[in-house]
Amino acid sequence: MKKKKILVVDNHPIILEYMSKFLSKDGHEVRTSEDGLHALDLLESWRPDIIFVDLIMPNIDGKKLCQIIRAMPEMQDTYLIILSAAAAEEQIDFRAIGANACIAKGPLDKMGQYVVAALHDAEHGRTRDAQERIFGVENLYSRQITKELLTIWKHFEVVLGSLSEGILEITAGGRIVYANPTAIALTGIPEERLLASSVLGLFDAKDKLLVRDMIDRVAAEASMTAADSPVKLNDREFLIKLLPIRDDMKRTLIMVLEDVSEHRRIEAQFHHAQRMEAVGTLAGGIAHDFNNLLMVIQGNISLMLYELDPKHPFHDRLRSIEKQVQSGSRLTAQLLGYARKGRYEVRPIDLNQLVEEACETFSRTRKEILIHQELARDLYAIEADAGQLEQVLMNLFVNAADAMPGGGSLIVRTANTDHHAMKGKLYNPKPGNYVQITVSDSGTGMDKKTMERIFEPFFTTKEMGRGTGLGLASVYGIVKGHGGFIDVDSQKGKGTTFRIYLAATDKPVVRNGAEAPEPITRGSETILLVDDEQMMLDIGRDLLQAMGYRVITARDGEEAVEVYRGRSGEIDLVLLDIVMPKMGGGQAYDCIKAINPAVKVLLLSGYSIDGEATQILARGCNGFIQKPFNLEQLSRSVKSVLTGNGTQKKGNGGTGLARGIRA
Amino acid sequence: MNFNEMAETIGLDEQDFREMAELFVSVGVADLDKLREAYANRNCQGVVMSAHSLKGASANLGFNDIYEIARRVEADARAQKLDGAGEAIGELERKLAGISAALGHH
Repeated sequence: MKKKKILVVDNHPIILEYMSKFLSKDGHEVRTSEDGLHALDLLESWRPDIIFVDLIMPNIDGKKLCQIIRAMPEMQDTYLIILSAAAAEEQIDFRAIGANACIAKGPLDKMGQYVVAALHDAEHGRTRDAQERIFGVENLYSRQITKELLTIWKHFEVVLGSLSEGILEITAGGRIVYANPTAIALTGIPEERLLASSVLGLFDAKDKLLVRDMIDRVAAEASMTAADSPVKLNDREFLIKLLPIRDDMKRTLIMVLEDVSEHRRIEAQFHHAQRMEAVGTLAGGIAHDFNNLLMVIQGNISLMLYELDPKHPFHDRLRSIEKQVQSGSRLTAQLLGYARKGRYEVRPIDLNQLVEEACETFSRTRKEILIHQELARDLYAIEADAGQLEQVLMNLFVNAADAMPGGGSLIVRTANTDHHAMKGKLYNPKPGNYVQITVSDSGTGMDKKTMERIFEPFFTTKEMGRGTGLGLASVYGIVKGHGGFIDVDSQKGKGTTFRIYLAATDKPVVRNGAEAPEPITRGSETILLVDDEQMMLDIGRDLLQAMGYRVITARDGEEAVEVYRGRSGEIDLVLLDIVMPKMGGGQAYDCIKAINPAVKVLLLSGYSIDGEATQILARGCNGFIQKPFNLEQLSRSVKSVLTGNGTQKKGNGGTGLARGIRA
Repeated sequence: MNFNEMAETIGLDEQDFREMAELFVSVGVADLDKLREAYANRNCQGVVMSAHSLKGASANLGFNDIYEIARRVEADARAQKLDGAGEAIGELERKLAGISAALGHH
């Protein structure tokens, strides 16, 4: 027989010694390895003709070792012989793991004969087929202890296979000798390549040092250690834990990989939402306080204008200050809108006028975008909050402009349509006439995946710091809030078109700011003014007294109820702030209403009509006026409630800086 | 103890067999230490494991008397019986010392 190069891999020293002596005496070149990992290291520089492999071994077992060897192109012709101590207990299919033959370990006299027979097969390149038995299996009987150990291992294999955590067994030197199926899937590396490789190779450069330190620490101290912060692996984030294993055969470590990517994402989203909520609350609070300040300024201006001859040189200056107060009020309205405490002032409007104004404003800020307007003549009126629809248009324009970084064309169309024309949509519109607004750009467009998510809050494709992910989400919210519909068409590279449908109305359009100021109506009734801020009480009293009213003041809800209880016969109207210490406006309203169900109450607040004001109105309160208001608005609102025309519903002819209460 | 005959049985020459027997004694002493410790702790599972290891190695080389004792200790311990183990440990100790002495004569 030709002399062969033979490798024997077995962790039992007596078998290794025997095989080495038995094969060497016939002149073969024999090398030995105590485990799979050592064998693989040896194979890097030495290529044997025949390899004997024990099945149950530490640091990469026999089955895995055969599979790894068979995956090496240069080892395709190597003759692999399994040396099994558990051939009788384990139903082993040696061909399935790439081996050519299998010898059952047993008394050495018999085993020696089988080794000779197997070498003979190897010489002739013959693989034992399915009909042939394992060498020596006839001398074996099933042993209880081996069966028990195999059963335990099989149970653990099921447990390890079902864990959601990745489990890696590594040597103190950081070489991987076992990986459970989850670990293999998480790393995305085939088992044949993963085993025997360095665990450090799995991690990003910045995490390598941390993992190396952990391994060294656990290997030295033999106690468990866990990383405080996640490490990156295969573009996901993992918390890693290392546990030492020590027995008399080997010293290895178990690395547990817990995928926390999703958890971290949700956590980050939650923190973001919390931050937005906190900023919203802060913005709302600031807006409220500013409205009170503006109210005092506005009130004083109103009083001065009321008493000043229009020809007086200061008259124009006061009007100019009043305009600035109105600008300030618009700013606070935006803050309140951001805080989701925005006004919801629905009235019949002309959408074309709104579109024209929005286009003009936008053109001034983004000169590289050319806007084409194709507005339908005789467009139906719609009932909407003009401020919010302006926000919708602005958000769509900004979105379109960002999709055209080098400039481009934006087409805005309005058209009359009806529910028949909206067939084939995912939504089911109520029968009737609708107005369609279309905003089209010639920008980069979106793929389907992006399109599915664009209305989700916090979803953005813009780089960090540019998009909040709230623009299109608020567009969606506002359109939905108006009972409308929105859809989007887009193709990558071909631009995007948004279509919005809003129900038409037969009500005549109310033109904003087109009306001549109404004259101040004087009165002589008695008004109980309730506010917790002294400056508000002062200016409110002055304004009301300027119009001829008699004023009684109260500084909170409790005092108001007390005063009303004693003087209900002389009080014709209660002007009631909502947010106050001790007893708020809501509770005060209920108490006063209980004293006199016919009481007339006008709410006033630095917050918007949304929220508590709406609830109080729903309980029968007569009206709402938002701070800051001028003399004309106050006059109109007070008169409206006193004459019995003031019962309000949310959004129905709502109040505000420019309009006040309308019946 | 005829090492030459035992060597022939497993296809080695006497010198190789002697080296194998030296290895067997050192591995056997380690197994016996574990067996003794497990017995002292009344740890049946530990007794089964170390007796099993000793049994396998002795069978490989043909030390049949050691094989028989180890087999009996393993079977008893599996049945939670450790009565005879103390005595068996002494016997195993003497047998291993006997092999060691025989190896030392040459």
